[in-house]
Amino acid sequence: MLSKCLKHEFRATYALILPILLGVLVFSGITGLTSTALYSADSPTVLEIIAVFAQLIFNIMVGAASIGVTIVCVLRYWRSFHSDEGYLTMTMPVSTHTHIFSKLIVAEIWLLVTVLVLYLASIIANVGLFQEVFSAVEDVEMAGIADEVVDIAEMRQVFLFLLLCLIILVVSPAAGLLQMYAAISLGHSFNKYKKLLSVVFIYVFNQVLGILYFIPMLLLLVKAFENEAIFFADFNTVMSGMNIFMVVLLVLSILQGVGFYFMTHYFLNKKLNLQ
Amino acid sequence: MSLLECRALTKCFGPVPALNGINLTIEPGHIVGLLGPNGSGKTTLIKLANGLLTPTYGEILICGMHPGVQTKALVSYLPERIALPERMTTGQAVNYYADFFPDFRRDRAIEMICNLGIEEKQRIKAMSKGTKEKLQLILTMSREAKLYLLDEPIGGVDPATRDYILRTIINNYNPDASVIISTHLISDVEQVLDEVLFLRYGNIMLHDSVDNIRNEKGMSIDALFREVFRC
Repeated sequence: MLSKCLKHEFRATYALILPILLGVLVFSGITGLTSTALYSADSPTVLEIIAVFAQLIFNIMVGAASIGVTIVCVLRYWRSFHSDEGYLTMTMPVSTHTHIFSKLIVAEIWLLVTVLVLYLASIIANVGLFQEVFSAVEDVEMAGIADEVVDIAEMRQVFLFLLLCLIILVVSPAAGLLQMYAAISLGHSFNKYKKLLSVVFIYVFNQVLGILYFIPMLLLLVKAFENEAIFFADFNTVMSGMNIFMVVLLVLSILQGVGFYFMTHYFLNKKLNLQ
Repeated sequence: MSLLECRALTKCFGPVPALNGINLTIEPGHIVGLLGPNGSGKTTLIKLANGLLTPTYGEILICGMHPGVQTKALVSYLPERIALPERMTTGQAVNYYADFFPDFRRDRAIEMICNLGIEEKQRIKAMSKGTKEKLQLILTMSREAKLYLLDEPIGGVDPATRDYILRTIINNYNPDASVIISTHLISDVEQVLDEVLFLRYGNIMLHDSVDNIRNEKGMSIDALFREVFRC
Protein backbone atom coordinates (compact mmCIF):
# COMPACT_ATOMS: atom_id res chain seq x y z
CA MET A 1 0.00 0.00 0.00
CA LEU A 2 2.91 2.39 0.69
CA SER A 3 4.06 2.25 -2.92
CA LYS A 4 0.53 3.05 -4.14
CA CYS A 5 0.28 5.93 -1.70
CA LEU A 6 3.67 7.26 -2.85
CA LYS A 7 2.59 6.99 -6.49
CA HIS A 8 -0.57 8.99 -5.90
CA GLU A 9 1.23 11.53 -3.73
CA PHE A 10 3.73 12.26 -6.48
CA ARG A 11 0.90 12.55 -9.01
CA ALA A 12 -0.92 14.98 -6.71
CA THR A 13 2.09 17.28 -6.29
CA TYR A 14 4.30 17.19 -9.39
CA ALA A 15 2.00 19.41 -11.46
CA LEU A 16 2.40 22.22 -8.92
CA ILE A 17 6.04 21.80 -7.91
CA LEU A 18 7.77 21.05 -11.22
CA PRO A 19 6.67 24.33 -12.88
CA ILE A 20 8.00 26.27 -9.86
CA LEU A 21 11.40 24.60 -10.10
CA LEU A 22 11.55 24.82 -13.89
CA GLY A 23 10.63 28.47 -13.72
CA VAL A 24 13.51 29.17 -11.34
CA LEU A 25 15.95 27.21 -13.54
CA VAL A 26 14.88 29.02 -16.70
CA PHE A 27 15.17 32.42 -15.05
CA SER A 28 18.55 31.47 -13.60
CA GLY A 29 19.74 30.97 -17.18
CA ILE A 30 18.56 34.45 -18.12
CA THR A 31 20.18 35.90 -14.99
CA GLY A 32 23.40 34.03 -15.72
CA LEU A 33 23.58 35.46 -19.22
CA THR A 34 23.21 38.99 -17.90
CA SER A 35 25.55 38.42 -14.93
CA THR A 36 28.63 38.38 -17.15
CA ALA A 37 27.91 42.07 -17.79
CA LEU A 38 28.50 42.87 -14.12
CA TYR A 39 32.08 41.66 -14.28
CA SER A 40 33.01 42.98 -17.69
CA ALA A 41 34.72 46.38 -17.87
CA ASP A 42 33.20 47.35 -21.23
CA SER A 43 29.57 46.38 -20.64
CA PRO A 44 26.95 49.03 -21.41
CA THR A 45 25.37 50.60 -18.31
CA VAL A 46 21.89 49.51 -19.42
CA LEU A 47 22.98 45.88 -19.43
CA GLU A 48 24.51 46.25 -15.98
CA ILE A 49 21.24 47.68 -14.66
CA ILE A 50 19.31 44.80 -16.25
CA ALA A 51 21.77 42.37 -14.68
CA VAL A 52 21.26 43.86 -11.21
CA PHE A 53 17.47 43.69 -11.51
CA ALA A 54 17.69 40.14 -12.85
CA GLN A 55 19.77 39.14 -9.80
CA LEU A 56 17.25 40.79 -7.51
CA ILE A 57 14.30 39.04 -9.14
CA PHE A 58 16.18 35.75 -9.14
CA ASN A 59 16.90 36.03 -5.41
CA ILE A 60 13.22 36.70 -4.76
CA MET A 61 12.30 33.70 -6.91
CA VAL A 62 14.65 31.44 -4.93
CA GLY A 63 13.00 32.49 -1.66
CA ALA A 64 9.52 32.20 -3.14
CA ALA A 65 10.28 28.77 -4.63
CA SER A 66 11.49 27.29 -1.35
CA ILE A 67 8.49 28.70 0.52
CA GLY A 68 6.12 27.72 -2.30
CA VAL A 69 7.24 24.08 -2.40
CA THR A 70 6.90 23.82 1.39
CA ILE A 71 3.41 25.31 1.25
CA VAL A 72 2.38 22.86 -1.52
CA CYS A 73 3.56 19.93 0.62
CA VAL A 74 1.85 21.17 3.77
CA LEU A 75 -1.38 22.01 1.93
CA ARG A 76 -1.36 18.51 0.44
CA TYR A 77 -1.38 17.10 3.98
CA TRP A 78 -4.23 19.40 5.00
CA ARG A 79 -6.30 18.64 1.94
CA SER A 80 -5.85 14.83 2.26
CA PHE A 81 -6.87 14.58 5.89
CA HIS A 82 -8.73 17.68 7.00
CA SER A 83 -10.77 18.76 3.99
CA ASP A 84 -13.67 16.83 2.44
CA GLU A 85 -11.09 14.54 0.80
CA GLY A 86 -10.46 13.21 4.30
CA TYR A 87 -13.74 11.27 4.06
CA LEU A 88 -12.13 9.20 1.30
CA THR A 89 -8.53 9.16 2.56
CA MET A 90 -9.41 7.98 6.06
CA THR A 91 -11.85 5.29 4.90
CA MET A 92 -9.35 3.59 2.61
CA PRO A 93 -7.87 0.30 3.89
CA VAL A 94 -4.53 1.99 4.59
CA SER A 95 -3.02 2.41 8.04
CA THR A 96 -2.48 5.89 9.44
CA HIS A 97 1.25 5.13 9.66
CA THR A 98 1.32 4.46 5.90
CA HIS A 99 -0.62 7.64 5.17
CA ILE A 100 1.75 9.80 7.22
CA PHE A 101 4.89 8.12 5.85
CA SER A 102 3.75 8.55 2.25
CA LYS A 103 3.11 12.27 2.74
CA LEU A 104 6.40 12.71 4.62
CA ILE A 105 8.56 10.77 2.15
CA VAL A 106 7.19 12.58 -0.90
CA ALA A 107 7.42 16.00 0.76
CA GLU A 108 10.98 15.26 1.90
CA ILE A 109 11.99 14.22 -1.63
CA TRP A 110 10.50 17.38 -3.10
CA LEU A 111 12.29 19.55 -0.51
CA LEU A 112 15.64 17.88 -1.22
CA VAL A 113 15.10 18.19 -4.98
CA THR A 114 14.24 21.85 -4.42
CA VAL A 115 17.49 22.41 -2.48
CA LEU A 116 19.52 20.79 -5.28
CA VAL A 117 17.70 22.70 -8.01
CA LEU A 118 18.11 26.02 -6.20
CA TYR A 119 21.82 25.37 -5.68
CA LEU A 120 22.20 24.56 -9.37
CA ALA A 121 20.16 27.61 -10.31
CA SER A 122 22.31 29.82 -8.07
CA ILE A 123 25.45 28.57 -9.80
CA ILE A 124 23.92 29.19 -13.22
CA ALA A 125 22.63 32.63 -12.21
CA ASN A 126 26.04 33.67 -10.90
CA VAL A 127 28.16 32.25 -13.70
CA GLY A 128 29.78 35.64 -14.20
CA LEU A 129 30.91 35.71 -10.56
CA PHE A 130 32.28 32.19 -10.76
CA GLN A 131 34.24 33.07 -13.86
CA GLU A 132 35.85 35.94 -11.92
CA VAL A 133 36.61 33.71 -8.93
CA PHE A 134 38.19 30.97 -11.03
CA SER A 135 40.32 33.56 -12.84
CA ALA A 136 41.55 34.88 -9.50
CA VAL A 137 42.28 31.38 -8.18
CA GLU A 138 44.47 30.62 -11.18
CA ASP A 139 46.77 33.42 -10.06
CA VAL A 140 47.19 31.93 -6.61
CA GLU A 141 50.19 29.73 -5.91
CA MET A 142 48.34 26.41 -5.53
CA ALA A 143 51.64 24.65 -4.90
CA GLY A 144 52.01 26.59 -1.66
CA ILE A 145 48.67 25.32 -0.41
CA ALA A 146 49.39 21.79 -1.56
CA ASP A 147 52.56 21.81 0.43
CA GLU A 148 50.57 21.96 3.67
CA VAL A 149 50.71 18.63 5.46
CA VAL A 150 47.25 17.10 5.71
CA ASP A 151 46.67 15.40 9.03
CA ILE A 152 44.66 12.16 8.76
CA ALA A 153 42.87 12.88 12.04
CA GLU A 154 41.86 16.33 10.76
CA MET A 155 40.55 14.84 7.52
CA ARG A 156 38.53 12.36 9.53
CA GLN A 157 36.95 15.19 11.53
CA VAL A 158 36.17 17.12 8.32
CA PHE A 159 34.54 14.07 6.72
CA LEU A 160 32.52 13.44 9.87
CA PHE A 161 31.38 17.06 9.87
CA LEU A 162 30.32 16.86 6.22
CA LEU A 163 28.52 13.56 6.87
CA LEU A 164 26.67 15.05 9.84
CA CYS A 165 25.70 18.07 7.70
CA LEU A 166 24.25 15.75 5.06
CA ILE A 167 22.29 13.73 7.63
CA ILE A 168 20.92 16.90 9.23
CA LEU A 169 20.00 18.17 5.77
CA VAL A 170 17.69 15.15 5.49
CA VAL A 171 16.46 14.84 9.09
CA SER A 172 15.79 18.49 9.83
CA PRO A 173 13.25 19.15 7.02
CA ALA A 174 11.42 15.92 7.96
CA ALA A 175 11.21 17.07 11.58
CA GLY A 176 9.94 20.46 10.41
CA LEU A 177 7.28 18.86 8.20
CA LEU A 178 6.09 16.63 11.05
CA GLN A 179 5.88 19.69 13.27
CA MET A 180 3.55 21.35 10.78
CA TYR A 181 1.51 18.18 10.30
CA ALA A 182 1.04 17.90 14.07
CA ALA A 183 0.05 21.57 14.34
CA ILE A 184 -2.53 21.20 11.55
CA SER A 185 -4.03 18.02 13.01
CA LEU A 186 -4.12 19.55 16.49
CA GLY A 187 -5.72 22.75 15.19
CA HIS A 188 -8.35 20.77 13.27
CA SER A 189 -9.33 18.75 16.33
CA PHE A 190 -11.20 21.85 17.49
CA ASN A 191 -14.70 22.71 16.26
CA LYS A 192 -14.06 26.34 15.40
CA TYR A 193 -11.24 28.42 13.94
CA LYS A 194 -9.45 25.29 12.75
CA LYS A 195 -7.13 26.92 10.24
CA LEU A 196 -6.34 29.85 12.53
CA LEU A 197 -5.55 27.49 15.41
CA SER A 198 -3.31 25.43 13.11
CA VAL A 199 -1.25 28.53 12.32
CA VAL A 200 -1.18 29.47 16.02
CA PHE A 201 0.08 26.02 16.94
CA ILE A 202 2.82 26.20 14.27
CA TYR A 203 3.98 29.43 15.91
CA VAL A 204 3.70 28.00 19.45
CA PHE A 205 5.66 24.87 18.49
CA ASN A 206 8.37 27.06 16.94
CA GLN A 207 8.72 29.07 20.13
CA VAL A 208 8.81 25.99 22.37
CA LEU A 209 11.35 24.26 20.13
CA GLY A 210 13.45 27.40 20.08
CA ILE A 211 13.78 27.17 23.84
CA LEU A 212 14.32 23.39 23.82
CA TYR A 213 17.10 23.71 21.25
CA PHE A 214 18.66 26.77 22.91
CA ILE A 215 19.21 25.20 26.32
CA PRO A 216 21.50 22.28 25.33
CA MET A 217 23.33 24.43 22.79
CA LEU A 218 23.97 27.06 25.46
CA LEU A 219 25.19 24.40 27.89
CA LEU A 220 27.57 23.09 25.22
CA LEU A 221 28.96 26.56 24.55
CA VAL A 222 29.39 27.29 28.26
CA LYS A 223 31.20 23.97 28.67
CA ALA A 224 33.41 24.69 25.69
CA PHE A 225 34.44 28.15 26.83
CA GLU A 226 35.05 27.12 30.45
CA ASN A 227 38.60 26.25 29.47
CA GLU A 228 40.56 29.26 28.19
CA ALA A 229 42.67 26.88 26.11
CA ILE A 230 39.86 26.83 23.56
CA PHE A 231 41.07 30.16 22.23
CA PHE A 232 44.36 28.49 21.29
CA ALA A 233 42.84 25.20 20.14
CA ASP A 234 44.16 23.49 17.05
CA PHE A 235 42.06 22.68 13.96
CA ASN A 236 41.41 19.11 15.12
CA THR A 237 40.02 20.24 18.48
CA VAL A 238 37.80 22.88 16.88
CA MET A 239 36.42 20.40 14.36
CA SER A 240 35.87 17.86 17.10
CA GLY A 241 33.87 20.44 19.07
CA MET A 242 31.80 21.35 16.03
CA ASN A 243 31.05 17.68 15.44
CA ILE A 244 29.77 17.31 19.01
CA PHE A 245 27.57 20.34 18.37
CA MET A 246 26.26 18.74 15.16
CA VAL A 247 25.53 15.43 16.91
CA VAL A 248 23.51 17.22 19.59
CA LEU A 249 21.62 19.11 16.87
CA LEU A 250 20.94 15.82 15.06
CA VAL A 251 19.67 14.13 18.22
CA LEU A 252 17.37 17.06 18.95
CA SER A 253 16.04 16.97 15.37
CA ILE A 254 15.35 13.25 15.64
CA LEU A 255 13.56 13.69 18.97
CA GLN A 256 11.55 16.54 17.46
CA GLY A 257 10.55 14.40 14.49
CA VAL A 258 9.61 11.35 16.57
CA GLY A 259 7.59 13.42 19.05
CA PHE A 260 5.60 15.22 16.36
CA TYR A 261 5.12 11.99 14.39
CA PHE A 262 3.35 10.32 17.30
CA MET A 263 1.34 13.47 17.99
CA THR A 264 0.22 13.54 14.35
CA HIS A 265 -0.68 9.85 14.44
CA TYR A 266 -2.67 10.25 17.66
CA PHE A 267 -4.73 13.19 16.39
CA LEU A 268 -5.45 11.54 13.04
CA ASN A 269 -6.47 8.26 14.66
CA LYS A 270 -8.38 9.44 17.74
CA LYS A 271 -9.31 13.09 17.22
CA LEU A 272 -10.13 13.38 13.52
CA ASN A 273 -12.83 16.00 13.21
CA LEU A 274 -14.33 16.02 9.72
CA GLN A 275 -17.46 18.13 9.54
CA MET B 1 -21.97 -13.31 11.81
CA SER B 2 -23.58 -9.87 12.02
CA LEU B 3 -22.25 -7.32 9.60
CA LEU B 4 -22.74 -4.46 12.03
CA GLU B 5 -23.11 -4.73 15.76
CA CYS B 6 -23.36 -1.93 18.31
CA ARG B 7 -23.03 -2.66 22.02
CA ALA B 8 -24.03 0.18 24.32
CA LEU B 9 -22.53 2.51 21.75
CA THR B 10 -22.24 6.06 23.01
CA LYS B 11 -20.64 9.09 21.42
CA CYS B 12 -20.53 12.41 23.18
CA PHE B 13 -19.43 15.75 21.77
CA GLY B 14 -18.66 17.64 24.94
CA PRO B 15 -21.60 17.14 27.30
CA VAL B 16 -24.00 16.32 24.45
CA PRO B 17 -24.56 12.62 23.63
CA ALA B 18 -24.96 12.27 19.86
CA LEU B 19 -25.52 8.54 20.36
CA ASN B 20 -26.83 7.25 23.67
CA GLY B 21 -26.14 3.60 24.46
CA ILE B 22 -27.17 2.15 21.09
CA ASN B 23 -27.63 -1.63 20.83
CA LEU B 24 -28.07 -2.76 17.26
CA THR B 25 -27.45 -5.71 14.97
CA ILE B 26 -27.59 -5.68 11.18
CA GLU B 27 -27.52 -9.03 9.41
CA PRO B 28 -26.41 -9.64 5.81
CA GLY B 29 -28.78 -9.23 2.92
CA HIS B 30 -30.82 -6.22 4.07
CA ILE B 31 -31.35 -2.70 2.84
CA VAL B 32 -31.80 -0.66 6.01
CA GLY B 33 -33.11 2.87 6.18
CA LEU B 34 -31.40 4.88 8.91
CA LEU B 35 -34.05 7.52 9.41
CA GLY B 36 -34.36 10.47 11.69
CA PRO B 37 -34.54 14.24 11.81
CA ASN B 38 -31.48 16.45 11.64
CA GLY B 39 -29.20 15.94 14.63
CA SER B 40 -30.59 12.51 15.53
CA GLY B 41 -27.20 10.75 15.27
CA LYS B 42 -27.40 9.13 11.82
CA THR B 43 -24.14 10.55 10.49
CA THR B 44 -22.42 9.96 13.83
CA LEU B 45 -23.35 6.26 13.70
CA ILE B 46 -22.06 5.99 10.13
CA LYS B 47 -18.81 7.78 10.97
CA LEU B 48 -18.26 5.46 13.94
CA ALA B 49 -18.75 2.43 11.68
CA ASN B 50 -16.13 3.88 9.30
CA GLY B 51 -13.59 4.58 12.00
CA LEU B 52 -13.82 8.33 11.41
CA LEU B 53 -14.88 8.76 15.04
CA THR B 54 -14.05 6.75 18.16
CA PRO B 55 -16.76 5.80 20.67
CA THR B 56 -16.93 7.53 24.03
CA TYR B 57 -18.34 4.35 25.58
CA GLY B 58 -19.34 0.97 24.24
CA GLU B 59 -18.18 -0.55 21.01
CA ILE B 60 -19.07 -0.99 17.37
CA LEU B 61 -18.08 -4.08 15.40
CA ILE B 62 -17.96 -4.69 11.66
CA CYS B 63 -17.98 -8.44 10.91
CA GLY B 64 -16.83 -8.98 14.48
CA MET B 65 -13.91 -6.53 14.24
CA HIS B 66 -13.39 -3.04 15.59
CA PRO B 67 -13.15 -0.39 12.86
CA GLY B 68 -9.65 -0.35 11.37
CA VAL B 69 -7.72 -1.16 8.22
CA GLN B 70 -9.35 -4.59 7.85
CA THR B 71 -12.93 -3.32 8.23
CA LYS B 72 -12.30 -0.46 5.80
CA ALA B 73 -11.65 -3.10 3.15
CA LEU B 74 -15.13 -4.54 3.87
CA VAL B 75 -17.12 -1.30 4.08
CA SER B 76 -18.01 0.87 1.10
CA TYR B 77 -18.81 4.38 2.25
CA LEU B 78 -20.60 7.18 0.43
CA PRO B 79 -20.14 10.36 2.44
CA GLU B 80 -22.61 13.20 2.48
CA ARG B 81 -20.02 15.49 0.90
CA ILE B 82 -18.02 15.14 -2.30
CA ALA B 83 -14.82 13.49 -1.15
CA LEU B 84 -13.30 12.84 -4.57
CA PRO B 85 -10.12 14.85 -5.20
CA GLU B 86 -11.25 17.60 -7.57
CA ARG B 87 -7.94 17.74 -9.42
CA MET B 88 -8.53 14.19 -10.71
CA THR B 89 -10.18 13.20 -13.95
CA THR B 90 -12.85 10.51 -14.05
CA GLY B 91 -10.31 7.97 -15.29
CA GLN B 92 -7.86 8.86 -12.53
CA ALA B 93 -10.59 8.50 -9.91
CA VAL B 94 -11.43 5.02 -11.24
CA ASN B 95 -7.75 4.05 -11.09
CA TYR B 96 -7.52 5.48 -7.56
CA TYR B 97 -10.36 3.28 -6.36
CA ALA B 98 -8.98 0.26 -8.23
CA ASP B 99 -5.58 0.77 -6.58
CA PHE B 100 -6.79 0.93 -3.00
CA PHE B 101 -9.91 -1.24 -2.90
CA PRO B 102 -9.26 -4.87 -3.88
CA ASP B 103 -13.01 -5.50 -4.29
CA PHE B 104 -13.49 -2.66 -6.79
CA ARG B 105 -15.08 -3.74 -10.08
CA ARG B 106 -13.49 -1.50 -12.69
CA ASP B 107 -15.61 -2.90 -15.55
CA ARG B 108 -18.84 -2.16 -13.72
CA ALA B 109 -17.73 1.38 -12.88
CA ILE B 110 -16.69 2.17 -16.44
CA GLU B 111 -19.97 0.80 -17.83
CA MET B 112 -22.01 3.01 -15.49
CA ILE B 113 -19.82 6.04 -16.19
CA CYS B 114 -20.26 5.54 -19.96
CA ASN B 115 -24.03 5.18 -19.52
CA LEU B 116 -24.02 8.56 -17.78
CA GLY B 117 -22.08 10.13 -20.62
CA ILE B 118 -19.19 11.24 -18.41
CA GLU B 119 -15.91 11.64 -20.30
CA GLU B 120 -12.92 9.73 -18.94
CA LYS B 121 -10.71 12.82 -19.22
CA GLN B 122 -13.21 15.24 -17.66
CA ARG B 123 -11.94 16.82 -14.46
CA ILE B 124 -14.12 16.37 -11.39
CA LYS B 125 -13.68 20.08 -10.71
CA ALA B 126 -15.50 20.90 -13.95
CA MET B 127 -18.53 18.69 -13.21
CA SER B 128 -21.89 19.83 -11.88
CA LYS B 129 -22.82 18.91 -8.30
CA GLY B 130 -25.25 16.26 -9.47
CA THR B 131 -22.69 14.65 -11.77
CA LYS B 132 -20.09 14.59 -9.00
CA GLU B 133 -22.60 12.88 -6.69
CA LYS B 134 -23.45 10.32 -9.35
CA LEU B 135 -19.78 9.60 -10.02
CA GLN B 136 -19.07 9.20 -6.32
CA LEU B 137 -22.05 6.84 -5.99
CA ILE B 138 -20.93 4.79 -9.00
CA LEU B 139 -17.47 4.36 -7.51
CA THR B 140 -18.95 3.40 -4.12
CA MET B 141 -21.43 0.88 -5.56
CA SER B 142 -18.84 -0.64 -7.91
CA ARG B 143 -17.22 -2.33 -4.93
CA GLU B 144 -18.15 -5.84 -3.86
CA ALA B 145 -18.28 -4.77 -0.21
CA LYS B 146 -19.90 -6.52 2.74
CA LEU B 147 -21.49 -3.35 4.07
CA TYR B 148 -22.49 -0.25 2.17
CA LEU B 149 -22.91 2.93 4.23
CA LEU B 150 -24.61 5.64 2.24
CA ASP B 151 -24.97 8.97 4.05
CA GLU B 152 -27.72 11.11 2.53
CA PRO B 153 -27.22 9.77 -1.01
CA ILE B 154 -30.26 11.56 -2.42
CA GLY B 155 -30.17 14.86 -0.58
CA GLY B 156 -29.58 17.98 -2.64
CA VAL B 157 -30.22 16.47 -6.09
CA ASP B 158 -33.17 16.64 -8.48
CA PRO B 159 -35.89 13.93 -8.53
CA ALA B 160 -34.61 12.32 -11.74
CA THR B 161 -31.15 12.01 -10.19
CA ARG B 162 -32.69 10.56 -7.04
CA ASP B 163 -34.37 7.84 -9.11
CA TYR B 164 -31.08 7.11 -10.85
CA ILE B 165 -29.25 6.87 -7.53
CA LEU B 166 -31.81 4.49 -6.05
CA ARG B 167 -31.78 2.30 -9.17
CA THR B 168 -27.98 2.20 -9.06
CA ILE B 169 -28.06 1.12 -5.42
CA ILE B 170 -30.56 -1.67 -6.06
CA ASN B 171 -28.94 -2.94 -9.23
CA ASN B 172 -25.36 -2.97 -8.04
CA TYR B 173 -25.06 -3.90 -4.42
CA ASN B 174 -23.68 -7.30 -3.42
CA PRO B 175 -26.74 -9.46 -2.49
CA ASP B 176 -24.77 -11.04 0.39
CA ALA B 177 -24.08 -7.60 1.76
CA SER B 178 -26.21 -5.06 3.55
CA VAL B 179 -26.86 -1.47 2.66
CA ILE B 180 -27.55 1.22 5.25
CA ILE B 181 -29.04 4.36 3.76
CA SER B 182 -29.17 7.41 5.97
CA THR B 183 -31.72 9.96 4.86
CA HIS B 184 -34.57 12.16 5.93
CA LEU B 185 -36.27 11.92 2.51
CA ILE B 186 -38.38 8.93 3.46
CA SER B 187 -40.93 8.86 0.66
CA ASP B 188 -38.26 8.59 -2.02
CA VAL B 189 -36.29 5.81 -0.39
CA GLU B 190 -39.11 3.79 1.19
CA GLN B 191 -39.66 1.75 -1.97
CA VAL B 192 -36.18 0.15 -1.72
CA LEU B 193 -36.01 -0.50 2.02
CA ASP B 194 -36.73 -3.76 3.77
CA GLU B 195 -35.80 -2.59 7.29
CA VAL B 196 -36.00 0.75 8.99
CA LEU B 197 -34.23 2.20 12.00
CA PHE B 198 -35.66 5.37 13.54
CA LEU B 199 -33.18 7.50 15.49
CA ARG B 200 -34.01 10.46 17.71
CA TYR B 201 -31.65 12.36 20.02
CA GLY B 202 -29.17 9.48 19.74
CA ASN B 203 -31.65 6.78 20.74
CA ILE B 204 -33.30 4.04 18.68
CA MET B 205 -37.05 4.71 18.57
CA LEU B 206 -37.88 1.81 16.25
CA HIS B 207 -36.08 -1.03 14.45
CA ASP B 208 -38.33 -3.25 12.40
CA SER B 209 -38.93 -4.64 8.93
CA VAL B 210 -40.90 -2.52 6.48
CA ASP B 211 -43.41 -5.32 5.92
CA ASN B 212 -44.11 -5.62 9.66
CA ILE B 213 -44.65 -1.91 9.98
CA ARG B 214 -47.02 -1.78 7.03
CA ASN B 215 -48.95 -4.83 8.23
CA GLU B 216 -49.14 -3.92 11.91
CA LYS B 217 -49.50 -0.19 11.68
CA GLY B 218 -51.27 -0.06 8.35
CA MET B 219 -49.32 2.95 7.21
CA SER B 220 -46.34 3.77 5.04
CA ILE B 221 -42.93 4.40 6.55
CA ASP B 222 -43.21 8.05 5.55
CA ALA B 223 -46.53 8.40 7.39
CA LEU B 224 -45.16 6.59 10.45
CA PHE B 225 -42.08 8.81 10.43
CA ARG B 226 -44.24 11.94 10.38
CA GLU B 227 -46.26 10.57 13.27
CA VAL B 228 -43.27 9.53 15.39
CA PHE B 229 -41.28 12.68 14.78
CA ARG B 230 -44.15 15.15 14.83
CA CYS B 231 -42.96 18.56 16.06
